[in-house]
Amino acid sequence: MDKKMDINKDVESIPLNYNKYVKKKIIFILISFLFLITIFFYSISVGNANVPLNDVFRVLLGQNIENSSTIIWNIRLPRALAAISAGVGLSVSGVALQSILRNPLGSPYTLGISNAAAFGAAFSVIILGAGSMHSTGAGAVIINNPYITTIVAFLWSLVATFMLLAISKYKGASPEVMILIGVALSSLFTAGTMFLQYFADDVELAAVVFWTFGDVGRADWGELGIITAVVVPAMIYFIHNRWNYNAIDAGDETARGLGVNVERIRLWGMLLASFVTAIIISFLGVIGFIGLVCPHIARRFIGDEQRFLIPASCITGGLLLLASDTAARLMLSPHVLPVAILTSFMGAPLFIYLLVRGYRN
Amino acid sequence: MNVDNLEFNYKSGNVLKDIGFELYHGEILAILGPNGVGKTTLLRCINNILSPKKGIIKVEDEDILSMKNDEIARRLGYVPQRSEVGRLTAFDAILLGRKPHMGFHVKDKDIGIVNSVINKLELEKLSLRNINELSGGELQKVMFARALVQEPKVLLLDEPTSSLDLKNQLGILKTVRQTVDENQISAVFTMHDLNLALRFADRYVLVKNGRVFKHGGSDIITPENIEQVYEVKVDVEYINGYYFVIPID
Ligand SMILES: Nc1ncnc2c1ncn2[C@@H]1O[C@H](COP(=O)(O)OP(=O)(O)O)[C@@H](O)[C@H]1O
Ligand SMILES: [Mg+2]
Repeated sequence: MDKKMDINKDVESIPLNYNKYVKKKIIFILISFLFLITIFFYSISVGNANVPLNDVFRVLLGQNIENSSTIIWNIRLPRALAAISAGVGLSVSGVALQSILRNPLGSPYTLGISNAAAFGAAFSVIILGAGSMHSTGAGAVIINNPYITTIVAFLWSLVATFMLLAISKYKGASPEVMILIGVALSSLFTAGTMFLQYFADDVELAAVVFWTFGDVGRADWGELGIITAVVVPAMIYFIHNRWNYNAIDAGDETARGLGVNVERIRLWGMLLASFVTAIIISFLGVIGFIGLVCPHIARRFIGDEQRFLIPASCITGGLLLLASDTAARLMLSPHVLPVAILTSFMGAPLFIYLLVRGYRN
Repeated sequence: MNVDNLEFNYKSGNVLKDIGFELYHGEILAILGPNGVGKTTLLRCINNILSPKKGIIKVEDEDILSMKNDEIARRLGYVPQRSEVGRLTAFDAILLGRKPHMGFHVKDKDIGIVNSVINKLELEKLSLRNINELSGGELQKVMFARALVQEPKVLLLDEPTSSLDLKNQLGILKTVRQTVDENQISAVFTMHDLNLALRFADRYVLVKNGRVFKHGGSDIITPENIEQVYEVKVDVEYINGYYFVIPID
């Protein structure tokens, strides 16, 4: 009788611990979400003209306050939302690619998509002449016909995606080979961009370089809408497939044994991650390291289990890009630094730090 | 379970031909043969991870090869020789085995099944440890537990003892035996250690040149058959209630 009691106690004590452990992860996700919200309001309130938080809430609730309303609705709100949307999109693509390609270096950048988009931008400016430019009062350069640049950048990133998918599908390439193909495509497109730049004049060169520095401030409401309309369904797709990614993480053979169609999941995941990245980069320019670093930050805190990792990566991505952009706006105020410069600067040391800490553990 | 006339080719050539055997509830089958003869390939075919060129595989009279992936996964639990290990807890690693039964959410029932398997295999202490910090024996147990929570009709184990010490070898096979007996399911394993196989299996398939050389009970493990399949001269001795294969030079 005593013995039976003991066994029953055991049976109950494990899920109790497990529930505690699950709860801890959910709390981490909730806290980072609250953090994101806080920074969101903060970023709307600060800038060249500070808007008191009080006024921020009132404006967002629909009240009209002179000056503040215009600044918030036309500039700060779309900018903050674009940062969140792009951060989520890049980070969720990165976390999916890391699983699909079974490689911690998996990210939109690794597959050559960013470089292909940059090549497309250079192509549109230098060959198609989309980049006859003029300076605005603030001294920033603007590309005259940004839509052509966006569309061409997008088309070239799709070209890279389909080259990658076609090679891997046709040759049945392994994840390792896909990464290598991505690296090869990256350097191919970089070489192409350099080739074009060699024949460009100063003005065109400046336009290409300007485009390459990713900046979330470029998005207006319409573009923000397009980005969000792609990022949100992609995020839902990736979250929906979390158990498939868990299974693939356990090895292709284990995943197949669990009934997962590994090839199909891999193909769709790559296609979607590439598409999301292509859309974001085409509108905002190249934003490095978010797709690589944010999933790894989330991993450090929450582990490799995809149920928690994917949502945590989404939030970390939005949070980090928004925080970086806010910092980039404030650092050299009244000058606004493109956020990509900051993410690249911070991303590399942060990444190295995370790796060193990880290996010490 | 029933396998008949199974045939499979890799692009590089013919590997399996005319494979057939049967297996009943509560029985363990050992697939024996030298390296590279196609044992792993055979397990993958049974599971339809590799699609056989022809042949029939039935589990409880249901045709496996015409089923959807997750229908197969609910009937066959496969533990490959190697799996990847990430930074996730043993509990979550085992919970993954519920995937073929799960919808969008983990249900209390799934947690309960994982829990009872953890208790049965005495994995309580490691259930919240990360699997990349487990020993080889512990990890093998976790992988086995993952296949068990699949609640399969047949367990397919590819060299389940290959990386384990003597104690863990016996431990894992005793657990297989116990599970098969208690749940009246079947198990198929491949193994290089003939003596270990002789201790735990009820039936044997000797594979030679991609074909079934002999199929039957422990009476087929004779010096003549072993020499034919492995090209080694052996004696078969009966000691302490078990048969032992002893090489002679
Ligand atoms: N993916 C593959 N492609 C081509 N040939 C393979 C593949 N996997 C195994 N083989 C070949 O099939 C044969 C059987 O391999 P395998 O089933 O792994 O043997 P075993 O498990 O009995 O050691 C070997 O000759 C091996 O070289
Ligand atoms: Mg093998």
